[in-house]
Amino acid sequence: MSTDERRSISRWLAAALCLFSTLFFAVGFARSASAQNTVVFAGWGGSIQAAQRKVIFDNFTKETGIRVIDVPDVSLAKIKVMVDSGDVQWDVAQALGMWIPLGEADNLWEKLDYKAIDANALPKAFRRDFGTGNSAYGQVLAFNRKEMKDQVIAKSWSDFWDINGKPGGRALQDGPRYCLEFALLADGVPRDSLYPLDVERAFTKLDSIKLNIGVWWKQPPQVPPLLASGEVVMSNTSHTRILDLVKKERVPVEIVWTDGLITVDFLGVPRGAKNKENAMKLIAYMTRPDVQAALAKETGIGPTNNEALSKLSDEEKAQLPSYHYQKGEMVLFDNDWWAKNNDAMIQRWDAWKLK
Amino acid sequence: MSRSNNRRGTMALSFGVWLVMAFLLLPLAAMVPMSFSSSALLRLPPPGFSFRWYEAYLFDQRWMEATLNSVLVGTATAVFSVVLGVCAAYGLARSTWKWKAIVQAFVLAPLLVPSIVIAVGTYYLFSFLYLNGTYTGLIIGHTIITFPYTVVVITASLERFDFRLEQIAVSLGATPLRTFFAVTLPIIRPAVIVALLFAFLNSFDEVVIATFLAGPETTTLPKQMWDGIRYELSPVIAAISSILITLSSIIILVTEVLNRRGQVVADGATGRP
Amino acid sequence: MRVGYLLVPGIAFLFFTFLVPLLLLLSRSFYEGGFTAEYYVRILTTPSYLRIIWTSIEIAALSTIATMLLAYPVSYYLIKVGSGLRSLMIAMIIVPFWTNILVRCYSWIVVLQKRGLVNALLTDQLGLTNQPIELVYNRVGVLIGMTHYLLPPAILILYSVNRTIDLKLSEAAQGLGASAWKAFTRVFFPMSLPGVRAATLLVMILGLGFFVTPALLGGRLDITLAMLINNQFSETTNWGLGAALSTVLLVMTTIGIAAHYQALARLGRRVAP
Repeated sequence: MSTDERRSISRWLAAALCLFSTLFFAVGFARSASAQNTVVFAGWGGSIQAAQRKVIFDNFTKETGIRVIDVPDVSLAKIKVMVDSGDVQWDVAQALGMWIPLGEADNLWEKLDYKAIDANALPKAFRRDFGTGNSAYGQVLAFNRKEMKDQVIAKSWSDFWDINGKPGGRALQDGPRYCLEFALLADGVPRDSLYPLDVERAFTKLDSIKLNIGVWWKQPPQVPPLLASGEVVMSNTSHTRILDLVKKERVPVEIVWTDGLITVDFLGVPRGAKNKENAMKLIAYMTRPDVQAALAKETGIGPTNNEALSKLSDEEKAQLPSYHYQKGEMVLFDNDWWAKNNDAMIQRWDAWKLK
Repeated sequence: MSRSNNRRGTMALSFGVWLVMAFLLLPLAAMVPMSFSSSALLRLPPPGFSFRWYEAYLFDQRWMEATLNSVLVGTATAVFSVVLGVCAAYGLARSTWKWKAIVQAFVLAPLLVPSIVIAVGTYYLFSFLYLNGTYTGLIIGHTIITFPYTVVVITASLERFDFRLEQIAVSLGATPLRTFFAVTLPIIRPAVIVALLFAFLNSFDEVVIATFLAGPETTTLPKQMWDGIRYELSPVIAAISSILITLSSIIILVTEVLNRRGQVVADGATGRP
Repeated sequence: MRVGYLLVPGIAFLFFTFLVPLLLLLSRSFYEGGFTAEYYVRILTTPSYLRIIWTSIEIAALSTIATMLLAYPVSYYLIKVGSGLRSLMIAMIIVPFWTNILVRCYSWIVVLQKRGLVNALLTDQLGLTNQPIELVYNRVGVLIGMTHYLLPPAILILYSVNRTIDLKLSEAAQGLGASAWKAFTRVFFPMSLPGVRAATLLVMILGLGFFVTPALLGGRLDITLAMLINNQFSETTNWGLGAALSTVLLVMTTIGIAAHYQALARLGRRVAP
């Protein structure tokens, strides 16, 4: 290929690239069109949302004819921007329980229409003006049975703190949320007198284990490989991950339900949502006991509707935090306390880590 | 004596350089086996062999759409940032303005700001312009952070450029535009290509801004990979990365074969047009 | 100045898409209904924040030095070597670019962890140590991860700028009796300074902005300012503090750039003949 030929080819290529880019840029104004009768659901993404699509959204569409567009990576920050600017792209948001009171302070949520949503079978704590409790998770201790060589781990957090009696690497979530509660429970505070949290006592207890934490994990998906590889023998985690680990990967990891925290995700409607009515219908559907039971069977996510548990077998129930909570083994995470104190606790945690 | 020293020096250099190259490729030595693992956990050694992650990527419409989006957005972003970058770098190199340093700092500023700050700010602005979830918005968002790169690369190249060559061309009767395309551009072309490559790769790999500005139909590959990162981490991303590195290696080798005299990326000449 | 007009598109673009949203967002650091200095006061008076700022500088500085020390010889080698080998090497350098940062970090974890590739090699195969060495979940892991990420751009910038340096000048100096080392330090190196300047600048700026790598590969003490800022904007709605922290990061980076220019200018003066 001569230099001239090569040069003219590169010129054509360059010209073509420029033309394409300009056209693409100009035409790219086409947004995702809001078709008729849809509702946009913003959730956590990943396999949870895939399960929700399989078990909930497609059936909802069959029943009501409303199309569900589900998007991943829900965040309170984005909701705030959307509401502030008036371009609200989500109709239903799956929210960390704490986000409901946090959002209330900034006026980010629509009031829920409890005439459309039948929430009578839900515990009162899950029936808020601006959010309905929907999915229950257990924040529990998980340990690698094989690495622990048949030592008995039953007391949960005091076992976690027992470095000498139960040796092995530890991993802990890098943040105050849940860890403060775990420290207090390890220190002997009874389950029903946990809140309001005695912060000083919690940090003092955490001091005794600070140097023994091998991994301060930031993202939940870090935990299963840590436990499976033996890098650590114990960690806190959410129960659904361990169910997956055991069922699909056959890793010998076990959960201790005693002294676990039960945390509940809420469903909320961002203020100014475009399909408010459809949003209420979707929330109503997701609150139904049969729907919650189906999701529980598929994913191990705990239902909040008391009637849902009756639709499950004993074996299925044993995997659910809702069941263990009813048995009195777990503590209900207090969203309101955390909504008030989260910022201060995060700052305190960072300072504490560095000392 | 000095010649044997030179040879020892050269051997030491080669050895050191290849150590660095091995370092660069080391994580890939972990990644590729994991992509063929039958387990959903990122761990070695893999308990079994399986193509499931490659299938999960190649046969999934969502993944393929995301890949296409990334390629389109990356290309458009690269072209825009380089066009803007060449103009800006050239303007900076040729001007003797007092305010030159301030303009230079301004152009570099997007690199200093954490991408999440740019993401949130741009998201906010685009809300009012209804640009969120559009390709246009995403291209703009990515250009903001790739444009400074292109300026840096092309400026450095222009620093070595002898502007007298341009003066000669002008004195021979060429217009400034013709001079630029016939004299300057060919000489700085390697830097332009590096700038294009950088801009494309940065856009292709960018996740924070994409998380905010992309919508369900304009989602990019890295955003899809980070999808539900709070929830899970699957070896699919190892498979995707393996495919991408294979593809890019093939492209580079093919380009090299087609340009046996070495004119495109791996150029050995001293910048002859 | 006619050439000055070339700067207009780039500057206008950045002004509207970058500067305006940024100022709007950063203004929240001192104006929330009324003027307030509370966030800046909080940052300057909280020892942990100051410690985090220092850690960010440390980590960025160390990884910049490591990266440049490794990148320079590689880029020099690239210039000297024949075009076939060069293409291969450039392919190997670009290849990590195509791997998503998440995959890279997790691959490093698998390689560096207590039962990972490196430790398995050292303990089982080579029998060099009894206990596994802690290479991850600490500062070492962070530096390894960051250097790995920063090497390709550093090498490519150095190469693309310095490739126009005529090696014959060094050879001539050697022909006149200078040793290879002297020829390098007195002839080649001074001419390579523009490339070094561009690469170091970019690497340093990038290093200050890392938040994924320190989060996943680091230990208890490895908290960077970028991590803090990222958490503020993703986890909380309290953007006043996030905005103030971002401003601090911006100021820090600007000071770093200025200092860097000074240092390299001084180095240039000492090394030049």
